[in-house]
Amino acid sequence: MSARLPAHPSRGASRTLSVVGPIVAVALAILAWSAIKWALDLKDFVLPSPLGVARAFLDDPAPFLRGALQSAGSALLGFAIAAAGGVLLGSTISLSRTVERSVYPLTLLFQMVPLVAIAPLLVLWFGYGRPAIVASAAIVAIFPVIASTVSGLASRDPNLDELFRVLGAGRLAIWWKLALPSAVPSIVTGLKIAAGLATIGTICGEFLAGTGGENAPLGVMITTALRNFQTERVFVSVLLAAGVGFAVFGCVALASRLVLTRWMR
Amino acid sequence: MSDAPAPAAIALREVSRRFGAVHAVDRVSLAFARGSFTALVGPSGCGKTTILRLASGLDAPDEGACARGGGESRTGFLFQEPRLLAWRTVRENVALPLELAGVARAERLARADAALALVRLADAAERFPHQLSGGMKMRASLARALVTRPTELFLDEPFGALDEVTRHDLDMELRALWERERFTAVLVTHSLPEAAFLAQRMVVFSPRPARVVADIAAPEGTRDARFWTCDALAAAVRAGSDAMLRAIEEARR
Repeated sequence: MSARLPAHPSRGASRTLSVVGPIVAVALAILAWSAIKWALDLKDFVLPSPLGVARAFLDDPAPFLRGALQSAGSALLGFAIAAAGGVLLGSTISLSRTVERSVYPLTLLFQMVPLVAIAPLLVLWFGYGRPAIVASAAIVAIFPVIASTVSGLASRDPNLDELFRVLGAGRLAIWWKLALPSAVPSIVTGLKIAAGLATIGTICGEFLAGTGGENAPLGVMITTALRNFQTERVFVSVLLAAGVGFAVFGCVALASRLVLTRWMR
Repeated sequence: MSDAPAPAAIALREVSRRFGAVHAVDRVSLAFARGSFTALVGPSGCGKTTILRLASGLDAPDEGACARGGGESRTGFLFQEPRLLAWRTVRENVALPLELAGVARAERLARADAALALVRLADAAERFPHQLSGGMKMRASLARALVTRPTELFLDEPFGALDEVTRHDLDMELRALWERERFTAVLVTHSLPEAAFLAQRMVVFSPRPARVVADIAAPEGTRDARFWTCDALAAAVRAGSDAMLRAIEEARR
């Protein structure tokens, strides 16, 4: 039996590889980073050493962690607004073909308008601070939610459509009990993309609308550290921003797994 | 038993149906007696499904009329595919027709369980469709069709995609269910043996546009596993097959 099913041992080996592989890759990247710095004789403010970055964080981790918490909060809030608004907008758009044809292209604006171009407007409307940052995150994140909702609602099985009509279901029942549940896997994919974008939108928003001080978010810490040539602090903040992105994405991925158990095949 | 013929539950009078340039049904008259089991058989693409849709009211004829007998009428449908909602448990799937009709939750779930027991699927009530075999999915679909206690059941090649053993099992159960519940059943199939096994009457159609070329009484007898190989069934199949082949030859000329 085992001779005919070689998949088992190799699957175990591939699992080991999926753990060891990334660790080795990160170690190699850090090695390459040190090598480049040494070979080109780069100053610390141009490219700090990996050890310097670690020291900058470990010397006083509290402000970094507070900043990361701030940014994560803004990203999650922006994501939540984008998720609710995107599903609502996408559903409204899908109500009629005429509306879909005319309004859907307009929603592309969310995708096409560069965030940096409208960020000053957000400051004008919301002032400096969190509301503008959250708005920036929501604007960047909303388009994939709209798009995945629209395409998910459109992709239901016509056979099931017929079944519902045979059973005498009205439009509202078809939408609520067939179209929306059919769209869930597609919407979840959109939400995962939105989770990553919300973090990017947050950091960009913080660049322009963030405020410093005790609870300065990561975006502000990056700009402040850059002005002071504390490049190792920039690196710490950037790495933490990536961490925030992973965390937000992880939350959404976990939540969607719980929701999707009913849709798993 | 009285000598008067049972009142017709559904009567098609001289119905025709065209889809663009395609002439699917040509002046067909057919009546389905209340509580009868009729099989519509014919070469593939002949328009028998169109006739089923006309009889069920899913579709309207271009010419002619479809009359329904008075009294209570509840329609059940069994399609070629199970058409289950992947995100609902089997019980919730079976309860769907009642849910759409506004039946209260507790009552519809209880009735769904009763329908599942009828098709011997009570154990799978909590499972999701993807956890079922092809035959079990079809059973669940049958339970959903029966949950409203239909007076008329329309079956569109329901077991065509199943393997032969499973198909024979389901045929036997369907026949037993019909003998117990006595709904008016109309079945579309391309299998003459299945038609002769399940139904009381086999209506054979010509190639498109569908015309009735034979109306054959299926043999009497208990529908057990041996019935599949009995002489009476073989004779009915031969009669149906002769009529169909003659019609196909005529259409070629």
